[in-house]
Amino acid sequence: MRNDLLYVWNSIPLNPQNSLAPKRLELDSIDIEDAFSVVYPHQSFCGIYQMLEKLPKSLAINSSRVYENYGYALDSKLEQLLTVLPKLPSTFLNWSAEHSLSPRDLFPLLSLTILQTVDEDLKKISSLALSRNLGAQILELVVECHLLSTSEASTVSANTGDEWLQQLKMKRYPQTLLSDSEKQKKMLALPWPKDFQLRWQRQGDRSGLEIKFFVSHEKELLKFTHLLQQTIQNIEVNSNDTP
Amino acid sequence: MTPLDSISKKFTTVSIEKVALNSPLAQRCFNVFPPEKIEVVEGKPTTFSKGHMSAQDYTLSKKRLFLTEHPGHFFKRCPGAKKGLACCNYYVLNLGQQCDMDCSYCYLQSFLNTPYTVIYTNIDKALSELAEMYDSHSSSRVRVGTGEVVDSLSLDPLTNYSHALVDFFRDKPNWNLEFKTKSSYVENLLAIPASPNVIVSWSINPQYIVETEEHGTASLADRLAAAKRCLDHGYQIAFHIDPVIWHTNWKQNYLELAETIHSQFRPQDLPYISLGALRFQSEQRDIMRERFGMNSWVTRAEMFKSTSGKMRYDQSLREEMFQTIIQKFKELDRKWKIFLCMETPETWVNTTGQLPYKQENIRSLFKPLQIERAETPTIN
Repeated sequence: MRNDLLYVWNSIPLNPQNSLAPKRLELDSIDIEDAFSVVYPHQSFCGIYQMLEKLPKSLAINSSRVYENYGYALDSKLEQLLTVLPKLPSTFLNWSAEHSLSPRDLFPLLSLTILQTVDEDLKKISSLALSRNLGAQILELVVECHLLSTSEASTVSANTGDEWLQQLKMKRYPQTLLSDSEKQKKMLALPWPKDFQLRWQRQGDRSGLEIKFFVSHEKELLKFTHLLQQTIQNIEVNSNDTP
Repeated sequence: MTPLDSISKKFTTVSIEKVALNSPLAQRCFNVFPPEKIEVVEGKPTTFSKGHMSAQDYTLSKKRLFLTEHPGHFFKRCPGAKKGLACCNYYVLNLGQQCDMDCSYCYLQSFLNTPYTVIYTNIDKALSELAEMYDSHSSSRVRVGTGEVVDSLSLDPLTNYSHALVDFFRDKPNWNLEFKTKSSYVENLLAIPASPNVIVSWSINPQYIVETEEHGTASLADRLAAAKRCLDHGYQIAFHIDPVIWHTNWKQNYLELAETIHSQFRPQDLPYISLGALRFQSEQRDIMRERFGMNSWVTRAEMFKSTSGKMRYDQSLREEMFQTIIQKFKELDRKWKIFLCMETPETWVNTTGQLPYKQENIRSLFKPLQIERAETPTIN
């Protein structure tokens, strides 16, 4: 969309935010459904919804065609999602549109029978100005924690997105995190040489210790293998000593 | 209630495509279903569902039966045949789509896109395709299963396809046919002479999981009783303890399951028992949550995205569950043959100490095999 243009279709401004623009472009020669793609070449699912909502109700628009022009064929699942969007806080809708959330990112909301239960969480997602990835992860965890009846999943104490995500993970994956923490303690308690940098990590369905050692020539590599062998021997000695 | 009564009650509509009207299956439907439930259609039946199914559409698809001819290939490679997974050379023969039972974890929820239960009426074409394949691979050992996209036997009282399939495999000793089911309908199989290369297998789980997650399926006791009848009749039988589902009493329940199997069967009665842990595509979470809420051990499970892209339990938990079950079987009798289904080589090594290709008693199942037409299953 050009900022110096006011796009008009049959006297209706399609980008009213540019009403003071110096030039007008009449789009009367094309259907209104197609006119949107000229004005806004890229729109997210929520963006299209908001755009259509702002238009006068008297306009008989084939909304399916508008969604299709942006690559969203309105199947049963998307139609179901469209019934949910009007019930969401406007700040969350704005955030979803700005961050181009996909319908899949929003599908977790379909599991809730009473959407108002997550209102505060949705408002917090937008107020924290989270990235799309972090916001989508938090959204799914919030929904799941609410369904699990851990209503304290709600935001209250989290000040940042990362902090909130960690709190939600603690509630959603308590057993795995407990087991990770026990394994971590056990692994870190092993007799590691001080030259190794150790970091506990979860990579998908596995968790473990990342061991880093910086090597700039072959001799250091030999030293690394030697230290590693020593560590293994120490572990073996320790485990033999254990009654 | 007879099995046919139960099937008749299960479906609210039966649509028969014109091209399938003269098939024996269509004729049987006219005898089984009341006329008000049956409609003859040209093309596909009308539904309000468009594109990706909503949770509600999916549930409804189990109540609408559609008989049609399958235009494509029936014979495909098992989805387990992927890079990064140890595959057991399994091929699938899809004689329909959708299952009349409703397990909370069912992968069809993220796999199917047809708003009805389909049964293909042109089984003769499926058999010619198999015959063609057999002509060029008669000396290879091939396992063909019919229970990947439908349950092999739950609708057999209606289709009677088991007869044609058993008869086809009867004179093909190098090839094995596997029926995989969670039902207990075996009367059709018992009505004909058994063939030793036909395996009737059951997916089994502790009764607690059957009740909480495997809705509309036969009880564990009924499945085991049906297996015993098939065994006594001369069929091979097998069990798939799959998916193993973590729950509060998992250890006790799976140990009891092993004991129950051991008390009713001997290792020589079964060519193998397969074990697989709960797994699903990440996009399946939405539909499962919508359909079953979080009051399910499946939806509330702590799952993580694995390297294959599927959601799985933490690897150490999977290993612990597998080791517990395998160890119990081995304690009961070392001769039990157990293998892991759709698992990574790392899990194989950590659980059993070796890759399957190196294990004497199951090596033959994992010998790589090349068949040109083997494809990844696709749904039209």
